[in-house]
Amino acid sequence: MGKSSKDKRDIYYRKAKEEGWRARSAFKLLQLDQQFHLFDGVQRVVDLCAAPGSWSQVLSRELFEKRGIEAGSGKTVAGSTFGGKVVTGESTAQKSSTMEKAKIVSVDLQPMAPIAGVTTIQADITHPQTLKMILDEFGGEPADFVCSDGAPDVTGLHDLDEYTQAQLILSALQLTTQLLRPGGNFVAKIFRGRDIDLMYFQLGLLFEQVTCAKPRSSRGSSLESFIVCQGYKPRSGWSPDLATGVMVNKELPLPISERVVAPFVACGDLSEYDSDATYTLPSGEGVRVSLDPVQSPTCPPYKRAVEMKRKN
Amino acid sequence: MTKTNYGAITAVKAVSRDCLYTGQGRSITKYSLSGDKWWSQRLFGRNKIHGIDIDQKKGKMLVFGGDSILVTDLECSSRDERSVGDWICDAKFGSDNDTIYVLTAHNRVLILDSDLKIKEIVTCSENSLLYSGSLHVTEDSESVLVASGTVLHGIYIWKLANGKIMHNFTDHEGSIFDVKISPDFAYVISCSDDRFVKLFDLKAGKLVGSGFGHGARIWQVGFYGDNNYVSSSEDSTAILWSHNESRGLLEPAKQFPGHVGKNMWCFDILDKSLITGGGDGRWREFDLEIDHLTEYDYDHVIGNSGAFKNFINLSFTKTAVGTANGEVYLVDRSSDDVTWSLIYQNDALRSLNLMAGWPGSPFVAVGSRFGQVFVINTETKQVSETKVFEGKVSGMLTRDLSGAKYLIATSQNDKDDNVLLEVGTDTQKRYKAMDTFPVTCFDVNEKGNVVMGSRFGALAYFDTVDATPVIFRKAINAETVTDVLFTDEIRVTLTTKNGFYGNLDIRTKQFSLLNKSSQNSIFKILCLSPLITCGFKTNSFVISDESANAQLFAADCGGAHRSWDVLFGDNKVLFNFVRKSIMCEIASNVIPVSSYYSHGREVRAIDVNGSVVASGAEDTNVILSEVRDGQLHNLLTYRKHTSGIQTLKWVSPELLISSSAREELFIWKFNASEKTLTPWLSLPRGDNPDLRIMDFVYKACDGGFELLCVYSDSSLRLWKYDNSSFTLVSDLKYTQHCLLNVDLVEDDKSALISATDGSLSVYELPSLRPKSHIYAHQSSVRFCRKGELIFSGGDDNKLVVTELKNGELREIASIASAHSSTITEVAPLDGSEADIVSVSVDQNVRKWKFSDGELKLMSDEFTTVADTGCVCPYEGGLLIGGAGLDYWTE
Ligand SMILES: C[S@@+](CC[C@H](N)C(=O)[O-])C[C@H]1O[C@@H](n2cnc3c(N)ncnc32)[C@H](O)[C@@H]1O
Repeated sequence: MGKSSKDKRDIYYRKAKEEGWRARSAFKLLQLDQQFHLFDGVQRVVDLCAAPGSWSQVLSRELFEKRGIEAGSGKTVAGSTFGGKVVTGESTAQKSSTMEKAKIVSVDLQPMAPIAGVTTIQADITHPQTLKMILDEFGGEPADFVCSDGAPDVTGLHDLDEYTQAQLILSALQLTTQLLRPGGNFVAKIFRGRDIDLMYFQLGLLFEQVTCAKPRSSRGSSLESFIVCQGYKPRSGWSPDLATGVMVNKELPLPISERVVAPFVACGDLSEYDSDATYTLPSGEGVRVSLDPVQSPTCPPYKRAVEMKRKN
Repeated sequence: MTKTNYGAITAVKAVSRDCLYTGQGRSITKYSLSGDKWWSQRLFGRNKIHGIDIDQKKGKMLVFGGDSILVTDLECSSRDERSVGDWICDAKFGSDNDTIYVLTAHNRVLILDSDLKIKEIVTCSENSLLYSGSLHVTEDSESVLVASGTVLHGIYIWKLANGKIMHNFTDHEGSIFDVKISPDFAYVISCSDDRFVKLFDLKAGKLVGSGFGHGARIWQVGFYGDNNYVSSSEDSTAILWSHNESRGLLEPAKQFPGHVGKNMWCFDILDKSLITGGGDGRWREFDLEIDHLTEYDYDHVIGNSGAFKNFINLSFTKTAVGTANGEVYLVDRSSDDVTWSLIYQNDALRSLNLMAGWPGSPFVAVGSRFGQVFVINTETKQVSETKVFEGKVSGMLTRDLSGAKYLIATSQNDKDDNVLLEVGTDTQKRYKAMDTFPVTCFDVNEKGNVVMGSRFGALAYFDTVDATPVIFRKAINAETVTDVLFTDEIRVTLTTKNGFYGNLDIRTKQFSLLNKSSQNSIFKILCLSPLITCGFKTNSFVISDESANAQLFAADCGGAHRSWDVLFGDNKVLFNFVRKSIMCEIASNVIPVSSYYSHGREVRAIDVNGSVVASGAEDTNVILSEVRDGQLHNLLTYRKHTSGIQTLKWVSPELLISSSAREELFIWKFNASEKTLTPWLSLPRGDNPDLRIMDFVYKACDGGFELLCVYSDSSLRLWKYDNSSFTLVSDLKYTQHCLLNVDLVEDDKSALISATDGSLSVYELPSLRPKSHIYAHQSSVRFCRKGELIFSGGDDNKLVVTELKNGELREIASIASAHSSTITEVAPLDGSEADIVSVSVDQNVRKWKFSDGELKLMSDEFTTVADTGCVCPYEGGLLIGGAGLDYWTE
């Protein structure tokens, strides 16, 4: 399907382009904030699985622009040993003293175009070394907020996709336990599949309040929701290792079964657009003209294959 | 309760022709390759099976999937499921007796004893997350090699003995979906998100071959023989690759068009057979022998005989070839030396390209410029000549009716009769020419009735040669009728050039079946029962079993614009065609399909009529199946919708209605004796391709029926059909929110609707004046009605009971966390202690009873079907749809 048909189909896609967001996901974070006031008093943030960067854009706007702080334009810095690449915001901004307090670090497998005031790292968040890189960026200071909009490339094997998704959350959680200040908040994308209640149980051990939230900009027909974990309470010795029950000289345990259900909240106003609905745009001049995407899609691994297919 | 899953097959293990194990959902099923189903056993509580290993000597089977593993015997008579606490990429028996190796997604190997006690845990120095991996045990178990496929860092080959990495291959881009080491430990084969298959030399540690050929992602790779490799893909095909060492390429040697919808997840190889498992829940067997392709050029014919014009396969070993020089050759392949002999030459046949024949006999017929038909016995070289026209013979069609050989000759002059001859007799029947009716196909039956099809889509039936024909001007659209066969005295099956087929009753002029093939075109019916057709799909010639919805054969010949002929039978195909003046011939084995198939994409609606189940899915198809002996059996796949099905319902024993995006709503007539569907009506629609008809309710009324539909643009429309056309009675826009369900309430005097804003609303009919409105949920609501009560489930995990009294909705009970995820359907139960059943994407199926003002949970069962989207109660059991299909019997 062509670009213009997507414009017509997806109202949030169109709105994102009009407002200059790199992805329609921006509205999900904005609607989550409407409900939970996630940005209140927040200075230091980690945005995991951030490409193409609309959440980072929202954060940059909230932490710099809205508070009247000038954020520099981003720039690229050379990579690291295991394929990770660090890109940092420009130094002009860092001269400001308030600015030194505000910090946004964004991580993704995919390269990201620079965003004002945002340090971006190209790395796999499930890799142990990535954790170290992020911690280094914070230089021992805690973060106020950790978010992750991570989603694997789904295969269609629901159990594998849910596992990979859970790994992204557990990696984010591992970082959280080492970086988030007590009382801080954590938000992550989840697939509400068959084992989501196991995940709720684990999260409940670490936060005062765990809520499952669905922004109205997220399609009702998709399994996606967001887990909003408020009030971090550190627990010594907690490790998000799935394989804790497995030990040498022991028999393999039976499958685990501790499950709880987190309360559900739909967020965003009912008067806002419905992402499941079909809208007819007013016909008239200019409306049918499709808008260019703000940020071109990042390059997928199968790009070469697709090119070869086209040529052949 | 028996729970049968018709979802994706995610593991296959072929032990012998009598013993094939498939992993489908949580169960292992044992089949023979000839299609017998021996037994099926559910092994896991929640996890799906992803791999099977067999130790034949000890008679043991190792089964794993998700984080579960178990060891059982070859009949799966015990089930002691254990968890390794992490995703299992591979598990293998060691070659000594008691060791089992398990590779997990954190690049860690657990070494277990036969009681699944952990002897050792070995962690690779590189422990990034794996998408795939495999374990390779040497004969003496001395050394175990691990091949790990990571998300971002390519492939690691490491030694279990010390956890050391031997190689890190980073030639792929993106996640590695499979990686295997050859049995002689010389090569590594892999596939990734980049859609390439790559071959590495293990000793040299370098890439030696790279192949591209699949149209989507590749899920599994394997070795076949010394220089061949196999891959299976999301594009639902497998490819057999050969290695071109000098060019560093893996080249496709044969492609297997295997499964319906998306995904061929897995395969195994047994001798020369490839056994594959698909997203459609079916396994298939293919012949790995490379199709025999023979090419003939003009060296085979005497002198400068001119182009190959026509060929007729008389048998699998004999083909008659006509050239532009007016010669007929017989190609004989019965011995190793292929012989070409000149059978007949006649200048009157020059430049003509008219030949027909009767496969199974030695006879062919050629037509001349001067109105002659020559029937040639290719064995005896005897020729008999009949003059049928003054001018040129422009068409010849043949039919064999229990040994009697018929031929119809048509003339260039459209005023000439169409002449029917019977070989070996003097019979000559002259059928009067019909206006604008160039004959393209015909059939004759025992009673001598004749039916003819035309290039302009017409069909003519002649009771006798002198009778006035019954003519159907637009039999199926106005498309060329390509083939027609009598199925009995009054019914014919016909096909069209644009890929339709149907059963037409000559007397009533009604279709009892009308459907579109998965092929772009149909040129011939190769078999009536099961219905097997051939035609073209883009550049390939294809043979399809329409009844089984399976492609049986495909050959890339460059498209339909060429001379070609096909012979099909005894599970063999002989296909020949001309490409760049060369005559090409492909001989192949075809293996029939036996097992049940589902959609291969998410099932979105199920409904039952007697024992006939209709299901609709994201693949845009409607499938009819039948329940027999507690099992589902396929009837036919119907292709009419152009986008994923939203809803389908039997509104009466004779009518099925289905709806989808593009405002498509089709009303189908059901023929109970044939168990087939014919499209009857479609609802008027606009031009917005995204507008979905989410749900509808049907009500018969005087002189027709009414249809109340809800749309994704928040519209509620009341349509009336008065036996000639639809009129819009009333129309309403609820808000901007997508509407989801609709039903009639208050003795059909009002409509109840639900929306994505969490609301339930009542409107008076037919005025659509609003009566009552409540927010029962926070977002999307699905409801069902049972008596006076409305049961609704939401995206908010909540289950609510609402009462409608005096036109007012009032919530009377609710449970906030009735499920841990979106409730996708609630359905009323009859004759059960429980009132309703709810399904959710948490894969739980719960039955509830409303009594004493409270909702009580009556039963709670887990379904294998992920992305659970719909449920249909049926005779005390349930049909559950989503990513796959479950059938639970009581
Ligand atoms: C839905 S997108 C995020 C969109 C983003 N929040 C925005 O607003 O632009 C999901 C991202 O997760 C990233 N991702 C998936 N797995 C990852 C991993 N293991 N490490 C880092 N990023 C990952 C993908 O590359 C993808 O860019």
